[in-house]
Amino acid sequence: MAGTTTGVRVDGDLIAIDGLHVTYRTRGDDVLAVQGFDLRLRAGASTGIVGESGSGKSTVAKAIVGLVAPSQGSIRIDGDLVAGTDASGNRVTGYVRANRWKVQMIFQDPYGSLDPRQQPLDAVAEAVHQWQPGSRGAARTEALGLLKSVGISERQATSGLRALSGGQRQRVSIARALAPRPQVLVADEPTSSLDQSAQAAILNLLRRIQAERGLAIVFISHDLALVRYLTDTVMVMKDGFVVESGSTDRVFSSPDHDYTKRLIASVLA
Amino acid sequence: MRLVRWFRELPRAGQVGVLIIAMVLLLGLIVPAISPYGVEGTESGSNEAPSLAHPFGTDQLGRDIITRSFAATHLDVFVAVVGVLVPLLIGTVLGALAATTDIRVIRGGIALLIDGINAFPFLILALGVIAVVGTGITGMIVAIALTSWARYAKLARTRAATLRELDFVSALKLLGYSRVRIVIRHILPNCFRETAAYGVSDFTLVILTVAALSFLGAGVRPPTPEWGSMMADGRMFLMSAPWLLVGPGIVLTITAFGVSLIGEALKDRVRA
Amino acid sequence: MPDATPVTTNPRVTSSVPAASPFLIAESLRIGLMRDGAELRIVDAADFTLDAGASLGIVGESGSGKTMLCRSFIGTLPRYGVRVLGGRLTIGGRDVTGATEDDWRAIRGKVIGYVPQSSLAGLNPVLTVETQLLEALQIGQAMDKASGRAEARRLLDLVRIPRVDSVLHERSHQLSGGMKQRVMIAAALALRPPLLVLDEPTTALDVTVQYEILMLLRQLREDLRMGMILISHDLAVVEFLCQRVMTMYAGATVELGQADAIRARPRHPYTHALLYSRLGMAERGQDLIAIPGEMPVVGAWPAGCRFGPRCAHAVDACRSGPQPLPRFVDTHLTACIRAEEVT
Repeated sequence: MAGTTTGVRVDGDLIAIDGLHVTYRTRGDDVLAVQGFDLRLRAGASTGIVGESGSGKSTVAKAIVGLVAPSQGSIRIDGDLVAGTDASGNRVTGYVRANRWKVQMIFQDPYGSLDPRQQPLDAVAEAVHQWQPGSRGAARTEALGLLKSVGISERQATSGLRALSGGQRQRVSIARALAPRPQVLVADEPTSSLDQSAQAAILNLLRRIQAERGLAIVFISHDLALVRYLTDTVMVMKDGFVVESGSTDRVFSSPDHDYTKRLIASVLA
Repeated sequence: MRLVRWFRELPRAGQVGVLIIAMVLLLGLIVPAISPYGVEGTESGSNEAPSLAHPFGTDQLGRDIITRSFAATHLDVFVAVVGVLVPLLIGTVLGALAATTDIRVIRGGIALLIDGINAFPFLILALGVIAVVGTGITGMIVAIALTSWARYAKLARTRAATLRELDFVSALKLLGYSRVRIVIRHILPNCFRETAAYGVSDFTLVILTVAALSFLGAGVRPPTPEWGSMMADGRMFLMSAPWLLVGPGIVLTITAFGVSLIGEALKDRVRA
Repeated sequence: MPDATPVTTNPRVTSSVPAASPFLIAESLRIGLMRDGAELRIVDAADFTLDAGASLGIVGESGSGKTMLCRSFIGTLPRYGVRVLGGRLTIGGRDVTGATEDDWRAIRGKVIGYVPQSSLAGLNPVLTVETQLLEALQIGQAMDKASGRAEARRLLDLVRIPRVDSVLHERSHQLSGGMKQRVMIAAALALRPPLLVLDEPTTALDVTVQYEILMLLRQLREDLRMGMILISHDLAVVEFLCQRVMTMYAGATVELGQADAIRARPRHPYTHALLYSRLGMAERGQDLIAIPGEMPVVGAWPAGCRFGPRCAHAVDACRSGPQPLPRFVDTHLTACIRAEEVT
């Protein structure tokens, strides 16, 4: 995608990924984790990336947020080139302060996503303070509001993490991710470590947040039912390739690829 | 207030440990103060057996053993506290640094030091250091610090390596926190939580090391009362006047026992 | 070698024919530990029977006590510092409430096969599949090498492992998750137990692999006329495999009955919520049914119905007294005192 310069909005898409390849090097061998991934996502839209372990779906998530560097292809976020080669031929790898806030991520393991030593309020306030100029007191007030909006009370926010369940920790992670007021949220299996009743509450919360803030959300999941319920479009990945993509309704009602058909058939009624 | 809550939340054994240490420290103040004998006074007969006048007996110079045993408490506990805190601080910081830095030389250098120091028997290494820096309280603390930081460093390095892989570190990177900040504000404090719990149980080891070094003549010099040197002096009279060893031995054992109770309780809390 | 039918006196008892005596009977079973002279319960008043050849699925979220209940069936509670506090457990006509480790050794594997929760890590990494299967077989009886090998092959065939010859000589790191699980199931079946207990057998598996394993288990249950107790957090998995379903919440049995009856009409608000908070149950753009609050932790169970604080239908009567015991309402047992009005 030559010809577009940094800072120019591309078709109004918040995410524009072209020809993404990611290669891991393990013991001298190159492993192609992702081979040719394209994506366009507008504000307020959501897409699901489904696949089984080893399909490359989590690597795509990490590439989007900048935790792994692509070996080929480009990623633009809100017009900013964050990975790839810019118009003057310079290689861009990763986010800078001016765009770092735009993309945040929710991780799978609620027990590993928070600093075990930090109270929820301190964790969120630290993130607020990083992105919004003002006093520490103001950051705490703002953090309390964020926590409240995800269903964490002041008492829970100021007690130790140990007292919080997996679902509550995941809420804190969401509040922290919202602190820089991002435009894009990447959720990597956000509920697969949670009990079913907690899952429902977290998904309702994410949907509400998306509607309120006009976020673009990328859901990474092995759970077809989740993607079917939640996202507008879906991409099915296998062995690093996207084998099928399209509107969620179409893919689920009349899948083209055999693998997609097998996945759908494996879902318990 | 926080101290009261901390105490209440300790397991019962830990509470007993805290009470024992508090009692020993208090007696360390009270006994020499109310004792009719001076700490270094030689007003009584030498090697007198325990009696009402001298509950622990007297030593070869006619000094009251119970007075000296408790008078030694503050010195021994002070050396132990410093002897734990200094290597704990150095070890945790270097260990966490080794696990999080990208600079090969630093990582490899610290690893070499850790493995090298841990390969030596602790006491022999400490004696070696004392031979260089000299005997006395300072020499002892330097020796303990130089030799035992490596154990904390190993612990901290393992902990930091685990933490570094956790998702929260990725989350903080995405929030734009600098590397230095993530290490100092988020990884290091978590490492301290772990090493501090082990540090408490190391108090016992350090108290015993101080005693051992003095016993070997590399520690505190007479006539300063110190458990190890008192016992070293008494060993010549082991058969005729065993109380020379029993008196300081009892106070040392009680202190060590109290500290290890606290240490175990804190370790359980970190693991939980 | 005899055929694959396990040694059961009374295989496949249908509900219409009264069984002589159920294979497994739990009577007011309480599991937990003593703390400061008082019982700290993890499982409370578990009361159910399982006929020979029948299947029961136990559903509950984390903290429900389902795994501890399951461990009481194979006598591995003490490893977790927990014990049976009261009530009675009878397996195969034998009272095992106070059974010793020696007693349990005679039960594990022979009377009850067990596939543990973390079974993907359950294989010894340095031993071959064959060695581990031989180990499982030799607990039962001394066996010469040749017949042991033949038996190991039979077991792998039974769990439909392709290319048996090479798999027998592989180690766990060479096997995929699904294959490991098949080997674990084969090992559990080595001594032809009449009852197989599985703790979350598909939790860590990919969707397509989970489906294959569930199909295999269903086939095995029918072919071997084997009884089955399946523990899962997933109601769909349990319904797929088991005739009867038991829902647990905070250590208590809240609903117990035929799977189809419960699916058609759950009679406890908790089971209802579990069923309808499933993703497949909601339309896109519609909120999912979520249960507010959190499950109370062991030692902090509320008075009255333990689900009460999270239940939309709770009234004053729900908030006092002990946890209600399950009672019959139309088709099956429910612990909800308001089942007739609210479900």
